Parts: sequence; structure tokens; C-alpha cells
Amino acid sequence: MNQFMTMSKINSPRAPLAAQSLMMSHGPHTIIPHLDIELRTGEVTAIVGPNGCGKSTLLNGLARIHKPRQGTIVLDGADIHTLPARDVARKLALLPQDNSAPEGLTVTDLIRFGRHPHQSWLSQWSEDDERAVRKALTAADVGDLANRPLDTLSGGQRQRAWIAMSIAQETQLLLLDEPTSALDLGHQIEVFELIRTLASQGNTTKSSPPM
Amino acid sequence: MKTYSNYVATWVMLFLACLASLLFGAGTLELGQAFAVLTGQGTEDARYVVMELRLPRLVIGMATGLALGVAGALLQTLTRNPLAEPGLLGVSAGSAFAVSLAILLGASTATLTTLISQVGALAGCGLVVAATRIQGAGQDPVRLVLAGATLTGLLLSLSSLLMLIDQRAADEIRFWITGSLAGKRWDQLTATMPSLLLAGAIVIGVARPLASLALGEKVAMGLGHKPGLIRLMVIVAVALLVGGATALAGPLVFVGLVVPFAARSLAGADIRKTLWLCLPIGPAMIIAADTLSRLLVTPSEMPLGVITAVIGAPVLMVIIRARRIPAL
Amino acid sequence: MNSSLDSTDTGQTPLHLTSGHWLWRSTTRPWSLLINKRSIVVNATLTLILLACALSSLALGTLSITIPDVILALQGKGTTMHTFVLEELRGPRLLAGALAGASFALAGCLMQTLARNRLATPGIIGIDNAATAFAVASVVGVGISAAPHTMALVGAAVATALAFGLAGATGTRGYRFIIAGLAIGAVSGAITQVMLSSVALDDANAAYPWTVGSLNARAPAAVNALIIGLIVGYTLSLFLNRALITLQLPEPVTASLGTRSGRVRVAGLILSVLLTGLAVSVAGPVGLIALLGPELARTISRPGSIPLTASALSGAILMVLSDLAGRLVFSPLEIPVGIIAALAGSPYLLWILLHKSPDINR
Repeated sequence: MNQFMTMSKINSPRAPLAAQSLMMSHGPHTIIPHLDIELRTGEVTAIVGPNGCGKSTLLNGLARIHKPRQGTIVLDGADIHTLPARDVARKLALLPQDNSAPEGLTVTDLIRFGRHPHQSWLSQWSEDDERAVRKALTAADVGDLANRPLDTLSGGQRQRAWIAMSIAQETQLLLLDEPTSALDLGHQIEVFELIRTLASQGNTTKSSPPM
Repeated sequence: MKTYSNYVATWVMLFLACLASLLFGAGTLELGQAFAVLTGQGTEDARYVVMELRLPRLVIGMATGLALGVAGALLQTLTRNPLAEPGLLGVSAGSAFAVSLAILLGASTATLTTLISQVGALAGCGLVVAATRIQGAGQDPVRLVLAGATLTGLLLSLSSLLMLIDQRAADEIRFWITGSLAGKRWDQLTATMPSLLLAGAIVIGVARPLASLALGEKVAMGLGHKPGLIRLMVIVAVALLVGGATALAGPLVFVGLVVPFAARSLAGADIRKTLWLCLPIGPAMIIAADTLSRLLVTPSEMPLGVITAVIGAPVLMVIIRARRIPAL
Repeated sequence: MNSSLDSTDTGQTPLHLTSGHWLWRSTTRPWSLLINKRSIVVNATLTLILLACALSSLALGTLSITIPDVILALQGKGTTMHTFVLEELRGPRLLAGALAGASFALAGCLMQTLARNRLATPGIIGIDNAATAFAVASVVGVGISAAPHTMALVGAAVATALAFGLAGATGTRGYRFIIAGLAIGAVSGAITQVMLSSVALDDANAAYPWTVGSLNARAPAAVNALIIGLIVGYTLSLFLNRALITLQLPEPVTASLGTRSGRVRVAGLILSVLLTGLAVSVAGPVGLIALLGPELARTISRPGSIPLTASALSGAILMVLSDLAGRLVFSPLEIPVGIIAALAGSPYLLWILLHKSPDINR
């Protein structure tokens, strides 16, 4: 149950993310020899496997954190490595496992980081930012914790805060790396329900990406 | 068999280094004349240069290298830290500061300098071992080395402060603090010898218990050793050795890192074999470095401490790159 | 927190998302500014403290001048003696100290942030020592005729390149980089010693300030270069700030938020090296300011922010105070600022090393 990696795609007209003949390696070790994958819209895709089978490597490749040895990753019809980093960040969010944040940071502070790709020097806190953060607070059910420092929260609360940060990024794709590994059974179910809700909302509500 | 040939090879190296040290020098003495002295002939002048200038320097260099190499091996085993080197961890700086203070206050006899140097080394060594027992930081070799570098910096600043106060002392300290074997006489060695011999006796007694302490405190206790006592004895031995060496040649960084590293890579993990190999390697390194220091910028001399730093820094990098040391 | 100007409270949720900030939004354009109140208060306070330290530094010394007299002299109405002491001696020295301190601390803050490690400051990784070695080489004249501040910059750059090369890894994160720097620092220090011990004593005395860090050695050209460098470096680092903030999160998150961390690191490192090299050419290796300034700034700043301005101000304050202490404590004997900074800073650094996590987030 713990060895989960979940990908949910929200609100996308067509398959937005695909990998073609993907080969990923870590130094001399080949982690993923060959993989074709296409992620469909409005659903939750779970990738299951034992430790060390390359789940995180795949996610890092898909999110363009590591360059693949061979093959291409296509985001909305374009090779992901040719797109500007900021454009990718507006379409695709990755939440890795085991995250740590600066001491004293509050839940709201953290969620605001999710708005980074939508902001600039001249637009530091738009109404869209405001609305997205409020939505994320509600969606991840951390509204009550908004002003609490992260280090005072339980593992499950903290994980929901991190998920809220990714939600606030308002991307059509959300890659979550073992989002429930730190949680007890009750919180695991909560997080999975949250992910399913996000996917289904993605089909019904139309979010307006600020341009 | 391999170990045996290692021993022979290192002793041959030491012999060659000694020979070079006697034959080559900054002076105008020709090679043939120096060699003639060694075979029992030679002019009066040549005899003076070789026997009165180069020989004491050679013997003092041997003592220094021996002391620093053994001290490094002991400290590394005790702290289980491949980077634990008396120079890097601030032990040498402790004794250097003590000696600077003594020079400022007017101490001049070699015996007193040695004693003061050893007291300073003891304080530095105590600090290092206390630091290794702090939870978290003590197990982190790199943090410990940085702490040592900080302590060294602090003590150097204090020494600089002393140098500002007294110009005469400043010149003496400035010369001594770079580390050099130049102009050393027999009386300095006789002042240091007793304490080095004492340290040697301690090392012989403590080598076996230390080897079992390397397996863990509980194992050592199970074998009937007292970890606290072993630790104390090792600290005293390291302080005597480093303090003595610093009194002889000034603070030399990296010798205690390079020598045990070379010995370990030949002998493996056993501390006793490592210590045996340190015996030829330590003196060989110092003597080779000292000979180089005379030859590189003739007619003047390059300070010995510079040569050991230039040799040691790459070895430090090799150790860091070869081992997976816990992240900072 | 009181936020009367805060217009974000829409009434739907009683939650203030931007409490503690001043928010301004343009009604006609998609522009908005969010300014943290605490950072304003912190920076204003630090500026006031710096001004107070600067005034004390001008007033105190072997010749004490009262504060009203200092102000009179600054207005051009003082006695000739006062004007001379302030304009020729203490003023330039104060300026050099404050600028060098600010540069050191800003460089330290940048490097700590991009390495995600509070120990990764230019002084600890040997940049100071290498810059010093190069500067000394030009002072004692080892066949090189470039100006000391140019040489210091070259030295800083060489040290950084070497640290990267020896560490054999991309990315500044990690202990290898720090140990490589330590080794480079040790060798550079040794080389400086050689140069000083192999030249005539007069030259050695001339170069002595370089080895410990002192404001006596400052050359007008180096100070001018530092002024320009600090203005450029500070402005560029403010532009980097938006990306630097995301570097506080784990590496994959940083990338996922659209920050090109590799490029940001390189840019930050270049700035840091530039600022350090220029500061060394004015004040010598006073590396601990690069650790203490940001540390002080971080403890009083808002969590999760990169206190660039506060670090620079703190660094300037610490430098001015160290210099003042060095001039007063053993007066008329003057203790170089580097020694004071080391004496005050080393115990604190030791405490960090042995008792705190080096992770910048803790």
C-alpha cells in the first residue's frame, strides 16, 4: 500500500504528457531501459512497484528534473526540454517524497510557493494568486492550519500542506511521489480521496490559467 | 608476503631520503665532498656542514615525522575519523599558540618550550575528543575538520594579537609558525627526546586495547579493557607526540593525515600494522619534504610547512573522494 | 497582525492570506506588489544601527570628537583639525569598512543559499585565502604587476574553479566542495606565508594587513572598484531573489516551480566570488563576516525569506564595530579588524559546527 506513486491529471483536453522510448539512467546504472507511457485526461494513474524499481526516476524524468538518456517526453505536443522552465511549471507540478521546508514557515507561506511560476516582479500577488491559494487551502483541508508553522504539524497535516502547495500551482498535471508514505492508514485514505476529488473536479471545473 | 615487501620498500625509501638529505643542501658544498664525509673522508668544512648542520636536521626531521605520523594514526583510530589529523583539528595550533605565548613571555630554553608545547597540545587534543563526543557533530568527519579549522583560525588570530604587542617576539614567532627544520641543533632534540620516548612506551602499551576499541566500546569492555583509560592514554600520547614535534619544527599541517593514509592503504585496517608502517613512512615524508624545501628555491629555503601542505591537500581530496563520508 | 492597508480580506473567508504584508494592486494593469512589513522594520532598524555605529566610529579614536562636532564637521562647519581627521582618516576608513562588510556578508548570504548550507561561506571554502595570496603576490612583487584588487578577483575566481574541479561534482551542494575549499585555503595560506617570509622585512610588513585582514591597506582604486561592484552585485542579487527563495525547498520542488537551479547557482556563485574578491582587496580576508552577517540577518528576518539586504547591513555593522573595537581596545595600539572578527566570530562558528545542523533550513 505504501509503495505508491500517483499521477492525476486534471482538466486536460487531450493526453498532455507522454514519454516515447524513454531510457533513464543514474550514472552507469540503467534504471529504466525502455518505456512508452501516455497519460490520459481526467483520471488518476497509479504506478506501483517495489522499492528501487525506478518510480521516482520516472517521475523525475517526466517532470524534466533529470534528462533522459534516450527518448523524448512530450508535454502538450512539444518536447519538454525545449519548453521554457516557467511554461512547464505552469502545466506540470511534481511533489517529491521527504520534503523539508525552512524552519518557521507557515502553511500559507508554503502554499504561496506554488504560485511562483505565475508571479513576476510586477505581479507579486494577483487576485488569481489569492483565489488559487484559498482553493488549495480548502481542497487539501488545511484551512484551519493556515497560520501554523509547518514544524508544529503532524506528518499527515504537513503532507497535506505540501499537496496544497502543488494544488495552488494550478497545473493540469500533478505528479505525486509516494504521497502517503509518511502517513497512517486513516490519513492515507484521506489523501487518496483528495487526489480522486482533484481528478474529478478537473473534469468539471474549468480553471483559468492566468496569462 | 605482501606486507613483508611493503616494510622493506618503505624502509628503503626512508634510507634513500636520509641519504639525499645528507648529500643535497642549499650550501655550496659539492655532492662528491658530501659523499666523501659519509665514507669517513672529506675536508674539515665538508665535515662541519654534513655532521653539524645536516645531520642534526636529519635526526630532528626523523623524530618529527615519526611523532606526527604515529599521532595521526592514533587520533584517527580513536575518533574513527579518517580526517582526524592533529594539524587539521587544531591540536598543533594549540601547541603553537602556547609556544607563541611562551616566546612572548620570554621563555627561551628548549626544555621549557617543549613542555609548554605539549601542554598546549594536550588542551587542543582534549577539545577535539570532547567535540567527538557531542551527539551528531562528533560522528561527522567533515564538521569536525571544519571545527578544527575554526579553532586553528581562532588561535592564529590570538597569536597575531601577541605578535602585534611585541615586535621582537613577532619576528621569532613568524619564523617559527610556518614550520621549518632550518637551524635546528642537538640540544633541541635532547630536550624533546624523553617525552617522545615516554609517548612511545604508551603507544606500545595501548596499541592492542586501541585495536579492540576500534571495534566498539562494548567489544573493548567485553575483552576486559577500560575504554575511558585507553582514551586518556591515547590523548596523552598524542599530546606528547604533537607537542614535541611542534616544539621541534613548528606546526606542520597534513603530515598526520598523509602518513597514516599511506600506511593504512598498505597495511589495511589493523591499527598495529598501520603504526609499524608509520615508523618508516613518517620520517621519510618529512625528510624528503625538508630536502625539497632546501632545493626548490636555493639559495634560500622554502618553509617545510608549505611543502607538507602542498603534498597533503591533494591527499585530503583523495580521501574525501574515495570515501562516502556522511553528508554535512 | 494589524493590516489596515490589507485589501485582501474579501469577507468570504475570515482568513488573512497576506497578513504581515502591505499589498498594492494596480486597478488598470495586472501589477501587484507585496511588501513584507517585518523586512521593512528589520532593514530600517539595521540602517539606524549602522548609522549609529558609523557616527561612533567617526567620533571615537585617539582623538575623540563629540557627536555634535562630528555633525558640524560633516556640514562643513567644523574646525580644520576635525575636518581633516574625518575627511582624510576616519571617513574613508568607515566607508571602506562598511562597504567591505556589506560585500562579504552579501556574498556569504548568496553562497549559503545556493549551497543550502550555512557553512558554505567564501571564507570557509578558501576563496578569501586564495584572493589574499594573489593580492600579496602583487604587493610583494613576484613578477606580477597587476593591481592588488584585480589580482584578488583573479584569486577568488581561481579558488572557486579549483574547488569545483577538485570536488569533481556539479552543484555546489555538499561537503566535498567545502573540503576542497579547505584544502585550497590551506595551500593558499601557506603560499602567502612563503611570499611574506621570502621577501625583505619591509615588504613583509607592508603585506601584513593582507594576511590578517585590516582596513589600513585599502587603496582608493580598490575602494572605487568595490563601490561599483557592490552596487552591481546587490542589484543583480535582488533580481535573483525571486529564484533564490525557491532554492530553499528541496531540489525537485525548486525545479517543479520553474526555477532553473543550475543557472541560478552559477549566477549566484559568480556574484558571490565577485563580491568576495573585491571586499578582500579592500579589507583582506575577514571571512567570518560572511558567516556572521547572514546568520544575524536570518535570525531577525521572516522565516522563508532570503535576507539579502539585511545581511549586507548586518555585515557592514559588524565590520564597522570590529574596526572600532580594534582601534579602541588596545589604544594606541591598533588591532586589525580581521583579528577582532576572528576572535569574536570563531567561538560562534564553533558553536554552530558542534551544536546546530549546517542545513540552512534548520
